Amino acid sequence: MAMPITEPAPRALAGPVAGGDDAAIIAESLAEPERFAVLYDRYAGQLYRYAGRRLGAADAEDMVAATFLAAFRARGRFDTTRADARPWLFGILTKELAKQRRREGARLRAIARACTDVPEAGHADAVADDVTARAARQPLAKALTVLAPADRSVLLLIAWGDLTYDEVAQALAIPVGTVRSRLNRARRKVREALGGNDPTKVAEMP
Amino acid sequence: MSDLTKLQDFGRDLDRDLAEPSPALRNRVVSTFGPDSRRTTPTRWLGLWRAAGPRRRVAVPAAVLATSTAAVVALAALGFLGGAPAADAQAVRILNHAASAALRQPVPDIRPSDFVFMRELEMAAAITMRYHRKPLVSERSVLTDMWLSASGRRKGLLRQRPFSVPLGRPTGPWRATILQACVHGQLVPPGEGWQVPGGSGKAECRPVPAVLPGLPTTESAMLRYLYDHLAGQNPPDQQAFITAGDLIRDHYIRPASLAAIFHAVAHIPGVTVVHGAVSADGRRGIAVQRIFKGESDQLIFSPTTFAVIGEREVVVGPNTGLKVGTILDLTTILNKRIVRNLGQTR
Repeated sequence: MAMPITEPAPRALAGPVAGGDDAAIIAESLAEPERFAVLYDRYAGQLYRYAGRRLGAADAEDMVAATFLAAFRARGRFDTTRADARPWLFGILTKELAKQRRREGARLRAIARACTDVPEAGHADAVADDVTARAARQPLAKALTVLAPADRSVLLLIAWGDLTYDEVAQALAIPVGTVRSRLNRARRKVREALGGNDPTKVAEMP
Repeated sequence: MSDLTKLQDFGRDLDRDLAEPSPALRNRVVSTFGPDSRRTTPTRWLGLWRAAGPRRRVAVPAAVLATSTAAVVALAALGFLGGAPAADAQAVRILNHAASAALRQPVPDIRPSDFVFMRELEMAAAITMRYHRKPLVSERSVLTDMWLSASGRRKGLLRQRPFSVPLGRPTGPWRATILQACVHGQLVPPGEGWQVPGGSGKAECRPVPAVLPGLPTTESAMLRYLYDHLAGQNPPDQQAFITAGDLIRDHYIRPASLAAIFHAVAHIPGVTVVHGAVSADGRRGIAVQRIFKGESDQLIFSPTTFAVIGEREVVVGPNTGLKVGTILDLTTILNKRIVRNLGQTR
């Protein structure tokens, strides 16, 4: 069946890579479990960065470890008609992150709070950039706290995980239409929280 | 700049706090990819495990929070119900005192249109985890006044100002936030001129009453309630203890139910006593605690009136990556009463 033309084209980097596509690696790992390490080497960095952004550095490694452990156990159920395991791994990571929802909320609120701590003394240039960057975090962190967890996951898988709509749908096992509606809702809420209701922004939706 | 671009910049900004995954992580993960692996859960190494439950921080409007789904966990094995208290003997004595003191309080006449006024001083640790280095801990205190609708159907008000505990005075101006009302399942936009985190658009909601209707008044029913309303990610006993603290801190609880909470907490295994717990305003109290993953969650009582004066989270174990004795959170309840009007404090 032809791919729907309205969907974004798959990114070149997301496809099969040297050393065999992911599905082949996973199939091989059923007989040779240690082959699964190839997937770790391919995707641990991306998963670590995504988990770190959402939960902080202290927890990112634990999240990556939990994701690969769960993926390894579930590898027999991987749909080998899909060459790319990245959406599958992000889906597992999303489930692991969902268990930490409270902590993610606490982190976002901490970021939002921390930004109000602009030091009054010490105007060194070195800290100026940092303060500016941190001040910019506050409204975004606040905005993310008000999103429903399912909407937040869709938004961040796209914005931070670099997944396409179709990949998010695969990762979360939901229809593409649901991805679109959750993304639209999340973006609308973020825009409102950022204080802008500029209708022209709607035109920027991918 | 579109919201997505801003979000992507925000993500890149957050990357500055991140290192690369360590080689040790690779060894740890890859070693589990074997036919003879028996490990069922990954080891938590640098696990700063914040055992906090659903601490409803005041930065988010209560009514907005209501739209998030709380996980409801039914605990089948309440085997200790009806048996001897599971907490240690000293803790049981204190909890019994607290229950008796609660029952001596007058029963107020609360109307749905009333507000629960709360003044709290919260000292929270801001922790920055650093790769291969000790975490940075700094403290920040905030004085908060809250007017929460008893029924959850009226708008509420929250105002906060920075406060210096050593100086004993505020160090900045009040900042106010309207907590949106929830009427007929829809958030009601606040008036003109108010900045409300989360936007002012229409959204579905459930009212969050500050006076919970139908809260159990008996020990066994309350114990079941605590285990049936677990909303955090901790193991059931720890979460039940935290849920009890959350209930007390975030609501006005009628005397009979408050007494039932204290009696119920006495049935949670692992609850012990801490002497000399100090509240943020310097009052020395006596606390009951439950320790999990190196952190002690404490409910602090006045040693004279046995009223709850606050809550603490303290590092007590070596596995958190933080110094033992670090206070992660200290909330002191300075005032809590039923008032008729928004803004009324007495």
